[in-house]
Amino acid sequence: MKTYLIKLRIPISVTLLIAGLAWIWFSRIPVESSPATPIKAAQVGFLAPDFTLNSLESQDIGLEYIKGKPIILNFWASWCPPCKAEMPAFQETFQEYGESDLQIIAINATNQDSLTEVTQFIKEYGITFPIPLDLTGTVSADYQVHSLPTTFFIDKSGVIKEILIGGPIPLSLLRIQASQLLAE
Amino acid sequence: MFPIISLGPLSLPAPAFILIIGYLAGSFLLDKKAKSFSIDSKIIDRALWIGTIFAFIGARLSYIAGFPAAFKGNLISIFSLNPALLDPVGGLLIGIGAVFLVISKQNTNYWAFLDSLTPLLGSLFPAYFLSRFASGNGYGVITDLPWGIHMWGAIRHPVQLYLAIFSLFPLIVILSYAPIKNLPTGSTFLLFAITTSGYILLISAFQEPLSTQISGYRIDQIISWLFLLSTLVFFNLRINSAEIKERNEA
Repeated sequence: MKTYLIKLRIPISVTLLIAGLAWIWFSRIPVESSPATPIKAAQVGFLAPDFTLNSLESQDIGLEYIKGKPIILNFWASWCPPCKAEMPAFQETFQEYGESDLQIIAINATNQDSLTEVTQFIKEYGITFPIPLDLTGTVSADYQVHSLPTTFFIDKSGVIKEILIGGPIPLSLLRIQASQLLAE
Repeated sequence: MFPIISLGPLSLPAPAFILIIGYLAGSFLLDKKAKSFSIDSKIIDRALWIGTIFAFIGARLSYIAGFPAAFKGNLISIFSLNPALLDPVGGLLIGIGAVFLVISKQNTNYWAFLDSLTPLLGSLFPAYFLSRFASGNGYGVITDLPWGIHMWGAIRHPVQLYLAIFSLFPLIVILSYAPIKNLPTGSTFLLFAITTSGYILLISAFQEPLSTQISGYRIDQIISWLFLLSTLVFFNLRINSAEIKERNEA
């Protein structure tokens, strides 16, 4: 059997390659096809789930208010050491890209934090970008945030391009992601 | 999809956990099978360790080379522990280069070395596909088949499970039959690579395409086909050279 297969190896190889090419052609995606309704899910390639939350100043913050703009969406809590470590980089990116369309939003997982701690944290780190409060944890659940910090990079059409679980995210990485989002 | 494994108060990231289990099982099988490939397992271990270290350093350097401006005034980022600052392709190439340097210094046959790696690779592939299933990455296209699974807002082909199941076959064959008698060295590795590129080419058709397509043709299928082509060419060349050698000796 083995000798037989070895003798026929060239025709077998050619058949495999032709079958492979035929399969690639057969399983190609029709160019005109597009998904009927874009699905919203917390995964790369899908539309980012909508949300509307209040900030400490009772201001409404949500995706619908910043449509058409690239977004860096971070989930954090004041007790989480990598969140503390990466916050200055987010603030610096916010200042560096202040004149561009880039939006930075850092949702506080308030359901597992305290408002006093959050207020103190914002003061201590001099944060000037929007901090919505996820009081019930619904938005964290929609975004399937299992560990803090988690950061989503969303392009101007609202599609999630990258998800980074854990941290701290260095400034250089935020700069790269910001430039890529703005270039699209 | 099960991103977290909860063991009492302990929460483990399932994808990483599965990959570690796959690596440990593969290392065990590699040590067990090394003798049958007539190679010292210590040489393989040394080469793999050096390769891994070089791969990590290379991946970081390659990433920095791609975006030098982002590191200006923030050189500390170079030493960040964040894995997102790694270029996997650059790291893989540098790691492979380092492994081959170590192997050539040890005067070890490249093909025998590649053969001896197959139990490790055979174990890593199912672990990799299962870890993607756990993380929810690499999901399938929408289907109405009864075995479809609910994932990312639709019923989809459990493509990661298809890949994990298919990837078990080469592993079982390696553990049962490798090294294959009457075939030249390198055949175990090449047959493993042929089978792997074959099933990836087949099953990628059920994978949800993101931006990885050109005029409707999936890039992963094209890469798999090119890989299949090159491994088939190498396999035929190995057999031809063995036959010529045999004839000359006769």
